[in-house]
Amino acid sequence: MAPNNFLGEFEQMVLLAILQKGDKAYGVEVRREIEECADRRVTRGAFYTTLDRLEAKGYLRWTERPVEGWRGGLPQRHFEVTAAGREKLEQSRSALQRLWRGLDEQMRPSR
Amino acid sequence: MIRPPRLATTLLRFALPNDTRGRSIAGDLLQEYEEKADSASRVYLWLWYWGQSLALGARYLVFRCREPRAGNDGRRSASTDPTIVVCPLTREEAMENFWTDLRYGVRMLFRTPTLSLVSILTIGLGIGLVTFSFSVVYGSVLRPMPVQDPERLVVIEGVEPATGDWGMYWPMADYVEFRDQTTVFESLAAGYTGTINITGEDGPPERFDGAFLTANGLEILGVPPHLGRTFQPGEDRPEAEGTLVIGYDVWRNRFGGDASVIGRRVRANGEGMTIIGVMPPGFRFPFDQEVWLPYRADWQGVPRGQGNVFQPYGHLREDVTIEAAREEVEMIAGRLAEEFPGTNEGITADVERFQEIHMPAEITAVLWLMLGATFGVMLIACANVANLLLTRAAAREHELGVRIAQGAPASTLVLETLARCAWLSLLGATAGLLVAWLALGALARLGPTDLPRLDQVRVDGGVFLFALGLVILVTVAAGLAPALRALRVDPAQVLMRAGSRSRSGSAFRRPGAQLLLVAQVALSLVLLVASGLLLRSLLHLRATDPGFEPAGAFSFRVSLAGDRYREPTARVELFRLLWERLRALPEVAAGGGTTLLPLTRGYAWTDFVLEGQGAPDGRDRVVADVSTVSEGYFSAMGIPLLAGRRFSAADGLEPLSVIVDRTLAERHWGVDEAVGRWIDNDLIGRATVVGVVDSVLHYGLDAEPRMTVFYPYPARAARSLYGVLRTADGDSDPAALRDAVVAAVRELDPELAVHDTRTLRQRVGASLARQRLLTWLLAAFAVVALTLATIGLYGLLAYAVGTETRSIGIRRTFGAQERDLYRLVLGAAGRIVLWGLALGLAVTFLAGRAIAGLLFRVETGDLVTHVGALLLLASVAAIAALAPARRAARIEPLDALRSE
Repeated sequence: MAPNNFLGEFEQMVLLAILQKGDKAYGVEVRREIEECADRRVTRGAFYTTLDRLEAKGYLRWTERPVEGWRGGLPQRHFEVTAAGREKLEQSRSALQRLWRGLDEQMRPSR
Repeated sequence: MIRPPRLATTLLRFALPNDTRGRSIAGDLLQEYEEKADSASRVYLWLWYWGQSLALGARYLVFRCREPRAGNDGRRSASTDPTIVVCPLTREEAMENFWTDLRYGVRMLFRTPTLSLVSILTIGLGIGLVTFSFSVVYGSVLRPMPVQDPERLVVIEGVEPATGDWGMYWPMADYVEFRDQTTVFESLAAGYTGTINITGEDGPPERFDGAFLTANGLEILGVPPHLGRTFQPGEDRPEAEGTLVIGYDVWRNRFGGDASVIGRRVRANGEGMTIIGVMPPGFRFPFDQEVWLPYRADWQGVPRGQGNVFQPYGHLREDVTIEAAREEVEMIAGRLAEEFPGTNEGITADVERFQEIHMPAEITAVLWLMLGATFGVMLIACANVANLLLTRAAAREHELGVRIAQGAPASTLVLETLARCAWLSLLGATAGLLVAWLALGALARLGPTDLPRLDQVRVDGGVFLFALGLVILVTVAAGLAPALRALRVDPAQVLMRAGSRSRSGSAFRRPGAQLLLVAQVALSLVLLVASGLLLRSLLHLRATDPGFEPAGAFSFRVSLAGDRYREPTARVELFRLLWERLRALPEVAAGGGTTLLPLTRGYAWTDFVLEGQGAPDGRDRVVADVSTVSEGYFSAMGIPLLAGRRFSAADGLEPLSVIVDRTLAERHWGVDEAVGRWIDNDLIGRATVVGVVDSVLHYGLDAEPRMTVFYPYPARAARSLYGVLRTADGDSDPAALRDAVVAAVRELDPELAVHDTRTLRQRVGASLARQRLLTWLLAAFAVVALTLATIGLYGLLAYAVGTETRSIGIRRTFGAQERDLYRLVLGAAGRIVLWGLALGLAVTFLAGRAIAGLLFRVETGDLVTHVGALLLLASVAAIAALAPARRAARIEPLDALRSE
């Protein structure tokens, strides 16, 4: 992966939400976490296609958790951020942090 | 808990990949549904689930299909990795591929929305038109006779050549003779129609058209009842309990569709009856009747010539021709006439197909012709779509070449194209059913109200299946050529050509597509001209004076049967009383009867010697139609008197007077010279002309009037007469006289039946049914053909402009003006249209003779129609070409670069 290939904003949110939920990082919960923290609506289509894309890039993986008695017996996926994913997140964060350096004072009055 | 809508779940599962990933996504949605289910309302839940499923499913269909993925499933599609050896697919994999192909089809639709929309509209119009014509044919020809083997169902009619009586019913004793002596029928039933008043606790008294039948009358039709049973042997005996079978609509409307209606007691015509059965939907017999009673009588014991009269009917045996049946009934009638001269002398029998009475063969032929023609139009629609897809396939050659080079199996490419076509035709069929449904609605409102059984024409299960069959046909017809073309792509060539694929203006010159369009324009012109000619002749026909006044008059038929009317004086007396009573009604201005009602089945003619004409020994005879009319007939019909007088009550056998029509008078004596002349006939004797009336178009509005001689009724008292009543008040509905007529006839003789009741206007309308139907359908075809041609033209030009953006941009760079680009596009359109018009004109010129027989007072080369059709076509084509032309004119040099 080329180092200049940064994660998109929504991709970051998805990966961060998965990390936040930890053991409980299932589809429904992750999406809800993003909606609550970011205070915005997340359409299912965008959410799942992003998951697929991140998976294809190798930033996350999932394991199947069989369910019984609910969800119509349909399987649940538990998501995990891979090492590559964590690295990518870190990369994005440090880039942003460098860019933000010293801007706090400047941003405040304009709020 | 409330289950989520199953259809939404199915659609979603279809859109999602069929693996753990897809299942888990569906599971997530279900989980949230379950969480919401406790607190949210049912409606909200339903809407929410549907909305989420559709949004999610659409997203997956459009964006996720066919993207190579290497997930936990570890599957890769063969086309992306040429190093993978293609193994035979397992059943599951094949299934998965099938779904993928279907999904891919949907995705393709979204990728090229204009192309898809145009294709769907085209297929929709084609399928809509065929479905529409099929519904009409199916509803009025294939389905109308709700009986088994309708083509073998026939009736026995009585004919009396001497009086010109025809289509007569038979007294009970004669029916019994036919029943026992004929060998050509599977079994013979009989019946007559009448009104049946039903009273009871289920509602107010209601009057229905019904029929009185022999006990086997329903059973031999071979239609099982919807509920209960039909009549059993013996239920037409005098001592039998009163029973009644009702039609489906009566059951639904009066009895609320209550199944417990079987066994219920009602009063029918004042008598207690038990309902024993309900017939299936759509069953009416013999015409529009929907209540049936057994006619309870001692069938064997009724003396000859007494009792009611019936129409015998039954199925011909399978090995018997109608000619053989005619021969046999004629022989039996002859024997009866010999054996019982008192009642049967001079009466012979004829066999007529029930279908022929129902729906004349000529209308049936026209309908079938129409159905065939619509298939042609639909195939053109398919060709249009195939053509559009081919142009698209040409544009995709590069992509296909790459994929083939990467190892995509040929079957996948073919299936993809077919899948896309399947979607197009499925969506097109949906649009088509809508079109057909709307068209049928319009037909029911505006079309010929006298088209037999129009109320039975609708889009139903049979029609739906038919449309489904069309979908398959269209998919193959429109998809095969593009699909096979995908197979012929040579990757090496395609890849080498890459980058140099557009030659200037090439997309405007594609001979196959252009020829197809030329043919369509020609077809549109031919149909426009043909329907224009028919429309003009229909207008002429409607403006034609039939020689009588159709508005404000009611007509009916009464047949005097049985021994009581053996003597002509009895017949004269009964009809005298009947006219007297009817004329006394305040709403009736005039009334009278005739043996031959204009524009109605039946004719009679004989030969005459006219005074002062030809040789005195009578060798030069004049053949003229013969009609018998009662006093008051000419006034009731509104037939003008040109000279002399009308018949009065005093006209009878001695002295014998006649009235002749204008055609006869003008040809032989002159209108003013005719009165006072004599006219001679071998059978009837010499008579004096006392009046001349205007000629009537007896055989149809497009037929020439024939010479006619009218005798006063007492001179030739036929058993059966058509009655005509003219309303006193021009505004009132003449059909309202029906009850009064039935009451008056019943008062004179309760055993007499009134039948064939119609207003004169309805009869005039019915006589135009064929022309009107033909005109309407042809006009509909013309509109569809024109629309298809327009869409095709637009499609070709829009596509050409789209693919030639680069070359057009380059032209701009070299100084081409907007004007030049308009000329480029409009020129391409103009060439096609001009060739089409030329070809179309040639065809109308050559084929004009085919339609000439259907025209009335319009020449096949009618200038107004031709100019009108040409202008219409040219202006529609101009509109179709203008949008692509404007787009071409707006292309900037920079666009050309951007398009690459």
